[in-house]
Amino acid sequence: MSGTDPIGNPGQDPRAQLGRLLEEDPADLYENAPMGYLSTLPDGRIVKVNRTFCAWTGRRPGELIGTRFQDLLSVGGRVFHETHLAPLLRMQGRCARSPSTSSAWTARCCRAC
Amino acid sequence: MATVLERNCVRVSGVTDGRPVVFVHGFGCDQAMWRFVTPDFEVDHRVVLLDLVGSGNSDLSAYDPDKYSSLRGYASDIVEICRELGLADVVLVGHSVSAMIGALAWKEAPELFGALVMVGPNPRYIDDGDYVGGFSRTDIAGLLDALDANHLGWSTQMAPVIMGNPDHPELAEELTNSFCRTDPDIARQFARVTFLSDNRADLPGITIPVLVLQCSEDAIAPEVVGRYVHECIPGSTFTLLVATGHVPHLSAPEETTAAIRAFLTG
Repeated sequence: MSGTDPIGNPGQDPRAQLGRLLEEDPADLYENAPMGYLSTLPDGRIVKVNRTFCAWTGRRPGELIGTRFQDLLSVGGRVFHETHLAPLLRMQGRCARSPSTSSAWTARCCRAC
Repeated sequence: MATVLERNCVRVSGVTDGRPVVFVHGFGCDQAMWRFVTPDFEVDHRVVLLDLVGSGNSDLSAYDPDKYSSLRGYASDIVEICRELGLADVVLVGHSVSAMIGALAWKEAPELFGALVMVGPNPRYIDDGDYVGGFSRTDIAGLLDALDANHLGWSTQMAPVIMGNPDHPELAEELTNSFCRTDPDIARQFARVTFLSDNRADLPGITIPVLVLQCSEDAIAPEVVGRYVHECIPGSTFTLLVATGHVPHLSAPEETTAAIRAFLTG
């Protein structure tokens, strides 16, 4: 049976295509998410990082694991990290940033980690 | 007109006749930063917390750009607060830039203070000849430019706009920072005053006991700077903490508390 898939490509069974979309692999969603994911210890050392973040920074996971997140930042970013982000993560386990720039982000951290 | 205590959102707790300990936060946060160390001191001290004008829950209408164009403006507020509360023999614990604000407060009213605790002090952030402050002039210029352009998004006030659901304010709460809210315009000037300050000349004259509390791997106040402060202040005590980062009172409150207590009883 021929038809048009959910994004308009001909020659695919739309139901099969939709089924594949809905069964996306969570690991793939993590690795190739349209945002950088990273997990750090409380001192900022990276213990887990996704492929998107690696692509943005042009480094392999092996180069990033063990590096302190704040060491990847510009001077301004490092000051922001030390004076705002790290304290907020310690106190409330999350930090929200203003959406006034296109790259709004949120960060979370588990105090027990 | 707000009183001095309202202006700085002063909160007093602990033992009324205990030795007063005044905790002063640094750039970027507010009195909430001390929440893990104050319970210990409240047992046998009179604990005073405050927000610098422009930070936390201070009275923003009291922010006067002229007065706060120098750290002395903040120092005179601390002196006013101590006088208003009738404090004496005060232990002034100042974090980061407030370590220097504390030194200036002592200079203005030495009769009020009995000891200074400087947590992660940096009397001059910019390198100068042989002096290492940890930042180049270009670093700091870039930081201040980024702040002016709000590239770093230091304002945390707009987060609820994302959610846009007035029926469920808890969703906005999830995205808003509960602590350390900063007015972006004030934060810009405070950053300028902080990171362009040079208080090296104020250090040698300090004659009361001083503890320099230094973190390991501190990007804002490197160890070499803490040792410089220690060497400049005759008779000061230097304690290097195992804690890393710039805010040991949040990351290692027990170690921080123990170091301050050891200094006060030693």
